[in-house]
Amino acid sequence: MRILVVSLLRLGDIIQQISLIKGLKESFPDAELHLLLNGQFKSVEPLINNDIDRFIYFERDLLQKGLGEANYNILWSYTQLENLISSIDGHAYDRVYNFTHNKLSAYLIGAFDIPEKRGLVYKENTFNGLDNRWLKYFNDRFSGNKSSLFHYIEILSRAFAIPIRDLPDSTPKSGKNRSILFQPLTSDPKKNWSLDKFVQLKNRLEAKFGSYEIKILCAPFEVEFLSEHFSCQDLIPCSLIEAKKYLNDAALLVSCDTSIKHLAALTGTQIVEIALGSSDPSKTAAFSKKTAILRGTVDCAPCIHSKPCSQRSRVCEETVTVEKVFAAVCDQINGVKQNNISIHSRFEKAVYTLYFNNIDLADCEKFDSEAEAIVSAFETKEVLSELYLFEEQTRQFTDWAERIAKSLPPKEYFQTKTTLRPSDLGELILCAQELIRSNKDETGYFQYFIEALTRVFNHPVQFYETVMDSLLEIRELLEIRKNLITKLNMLIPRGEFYAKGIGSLFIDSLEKTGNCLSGNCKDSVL
Amino acid sequence: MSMITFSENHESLLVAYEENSPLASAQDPLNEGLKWAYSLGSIPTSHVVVVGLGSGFHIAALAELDPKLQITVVDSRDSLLPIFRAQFPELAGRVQVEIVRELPALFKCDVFKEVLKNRSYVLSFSECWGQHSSFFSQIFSHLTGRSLEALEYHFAELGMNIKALPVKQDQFLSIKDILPAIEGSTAPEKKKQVFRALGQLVK
Repeated sequence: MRILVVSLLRLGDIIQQISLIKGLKESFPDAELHLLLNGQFKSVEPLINNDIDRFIYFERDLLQKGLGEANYNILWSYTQLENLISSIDGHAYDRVYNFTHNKLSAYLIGAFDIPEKRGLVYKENTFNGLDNRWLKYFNDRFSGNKSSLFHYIEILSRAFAIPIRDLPDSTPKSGKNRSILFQPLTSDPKKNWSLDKFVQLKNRLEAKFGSYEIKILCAPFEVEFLSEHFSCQDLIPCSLIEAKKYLNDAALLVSCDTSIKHLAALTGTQIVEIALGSSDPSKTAAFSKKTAILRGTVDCAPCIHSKPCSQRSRVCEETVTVEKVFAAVCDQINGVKQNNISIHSRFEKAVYTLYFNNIDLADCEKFDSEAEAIVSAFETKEVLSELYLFEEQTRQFTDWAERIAKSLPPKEYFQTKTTLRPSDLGELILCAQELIRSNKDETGYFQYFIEALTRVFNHPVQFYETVMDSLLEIRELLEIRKNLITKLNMLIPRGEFYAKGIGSLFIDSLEKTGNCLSGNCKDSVL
Repeated sequence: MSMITFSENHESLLVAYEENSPLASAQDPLNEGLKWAYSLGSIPTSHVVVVGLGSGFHIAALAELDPKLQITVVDSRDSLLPIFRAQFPELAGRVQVEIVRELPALFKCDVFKEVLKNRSYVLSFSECWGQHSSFFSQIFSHLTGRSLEALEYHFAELGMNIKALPVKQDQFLSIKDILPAIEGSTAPEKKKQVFRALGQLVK
């Protein structure tokens, strides 16, 4: 079997995908694995050459030059790309995976003569692949600055059913490592934490952890700039493969949003990640349980990648103080367990995982497994408290969904219309406004419904169909929520909890217990 | 046709003049040619077409910089040729000169067929175009396939019939201008996909 993986993104994305490539190799040990990469990232070859049998390069810069410079024949880039496609077809691949998920890769893969295509592909005048719910979510969430319940690698892994290998926890670090590394510069000034703060952090860490050596990783061309802030002996100018070696020997890395943090995640090094500007840790944090994430606590974060900072000063950077980073480093060095996911997000992740996997509502095993995972990851008290809120939210969402269904005129109404006016949709608009004002739908259950009200349709019937589709999705999600709630209620030792606490509960507390936590009020009548 | 004359400069180099205007730097044509050749950066093909022969110093510089490069020069003034050959005899085997006196003739000449076949890289040295800037500019856009008139020739190789482009007659075209016509053409789907992918690179 011969497999082609198309990865035409940037360096950080490619490094993140290494765990998937390893997973793919493990799933198909006898398969020949080829990787199509942007030509400018040839430096990643030594990081994955054990798993990849052949690297093929997409010379993006050269093609763009051929398209943009007048000296080139108008079809020069066309000929180059056609030759690349012919050479790829010549390899007679059995399957191609699109890890890139953009239009360019979808068109390219559409042009390949490969029998099995997985991921986004342009075929028969449409983008195929979005029927995979994981990819649809990826498409919706990663194209804008909406947050995501799932990490980039998690989504790709689930979408393509590829196991993730070399998870950081599988490669424990020895306690002998006595160096802390900083990676202060990123490719985008919006994402940088002030170099003065890095200097202050270094001084404080040296005072606190005298036995640790603190060094600064950088690219050779950054040495001159960084030497204005750090002594030259502290700088380690290095290539990607050398950086991996240094990270492997380090106790911890402090980094902003860089490809080096992803490399550290692969080596199992502990990380303190400072997420600023357009950096969105919900999507592309270092994929490691050993990461502590510090982010700018401002409303405008994360901002849009391609736009400059909209504030007078970089307020997100200002909120991340030296004290906060210092505390996070101390916690990491002292082995304090990190939990970067809130219990509410964990509940929502369970719901969406079941939904994206097209789970049968009667499949008890899958629900049990998600519920057990939640219960084992958090304290019972925390689960109970969240469960109460989750039940309440489910009731509220169900009410809204019913209200939308009732307010939506029948299809025939839309068929007779040529245009839609706000007065035609008054109740739906009110419902949407209420939903937005409530700020309760952070996860985006009603996202498609709200978007439908702001979109322009060629015909009013399309609006009706979009709202109906969104209602179908909401109802399925709500059913999953209800099933999950039932499973969690069965798993949590609620009776035991009451019994354990009964000795110390005051009468009014006992009454309160009877009024809340859903379930059966009779439970409190002991 | 304008009058071409030659004058020997202080370094005994023959510089061509058109209606009393030099077609290269009269003071230092060698250095001017070298500067131009260096400014080109790396050339992506082993054969290039240069629009404009003039005094030929830029051609000599280009040939010197890349000894393996094959060069074809297009010019309309045949009186430039004998002096060029006499002044740079070493380039006889490497530099071909095609004289094109009028635009329609370009589409029939061998150099144009060669360009279509190889998607050749085309260079221009406008300092030597003299009074024929517009003519040479059109030659350049025809050779690179970036003129409306030349499109049918360049795209005929792909089996595409490009018609009804919403562009002006003298517009210098990019691939983006042509994409809608390709989408509406009867070209094979595979070829269309290649163009769609290229369209993503020129956003």
